[in-house]
Amino acid sequence: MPFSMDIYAWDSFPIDTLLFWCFAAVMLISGLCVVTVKRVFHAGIAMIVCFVCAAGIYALLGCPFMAALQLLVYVGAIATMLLFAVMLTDKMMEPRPNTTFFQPFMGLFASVLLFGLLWLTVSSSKFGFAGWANSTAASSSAIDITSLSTTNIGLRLLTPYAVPFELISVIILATLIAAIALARKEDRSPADSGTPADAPASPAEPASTPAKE
Amino acid sequence: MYQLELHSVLSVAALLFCIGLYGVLTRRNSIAMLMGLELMFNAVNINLVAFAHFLPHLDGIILAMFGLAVAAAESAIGIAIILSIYRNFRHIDTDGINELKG
Repeated sequence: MPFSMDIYAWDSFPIDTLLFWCFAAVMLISGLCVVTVKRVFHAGIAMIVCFVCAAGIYALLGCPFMAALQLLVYVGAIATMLLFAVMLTDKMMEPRPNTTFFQPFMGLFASVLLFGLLWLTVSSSKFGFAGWANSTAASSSAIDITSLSTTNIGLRLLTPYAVPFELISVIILATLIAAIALARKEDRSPADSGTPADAPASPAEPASTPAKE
Repeated sequence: MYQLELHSVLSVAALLFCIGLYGVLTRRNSIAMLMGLELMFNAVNINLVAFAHFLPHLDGIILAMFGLAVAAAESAIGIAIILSIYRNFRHIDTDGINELKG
């Protein structure tokens, strides 16, 4: 039957490899946009595309929980926060000359050098770890650590890694407090003795600071 | 033959890391530098998840999740510092921020 042959052909078609290279191409191109586009707001939009493609790669690598976490934390929180920071600080649609003359070449030199080093390392190493996880799994707990399911992630996170998990929550609490304390406006109550003209004068005075050099 | 290999994932992640490094080294805007830093974090996380998939071992996912939480914390602190700098200097270009006592 020719119809079943078609099914066999589609069965052996490496759809995940194809999808991986599509995601990787879009991710790298949008990553290049992040570092080269003149306007910072557009760079933030390209960064969202890059994060979504990274989430697709996580899903292809067999960990949908990590993909969902990537979408929630990076796209939902970090990218939104960065875009809000762009909108709060800069005149966002105004292109700026980004660097001095020699700095792009030096940055290009450094990153190409690092990529050559990493490429040599990756291409020359043979990762022969067949059965490595099974030998360590016997000494571990009752969780099957060779399966990346969400249930196993939760069990692993809350039995052997419970202390680091709680420490991470302490770090996030400290970050919350520190971010609020840093980004908060200065309390003007000790400076209330000053004139009301103090408030418009304060932006004008630091604005002369870059012109001083 | 057309199976997905660990080497290709690692190469893509290395390329993304170097793109992020280029962004950190050449950008002058602090927020754009933070964006390059996030690209580098992302490359590291892709490496961790790739090793967790190909070993297979669960601890790569756990380490990637911890890295994600720390990256989120770092980004929040960085943006708070950038907003504070902006309030003092009225710009966030790194070559103009050359005095600590505002």
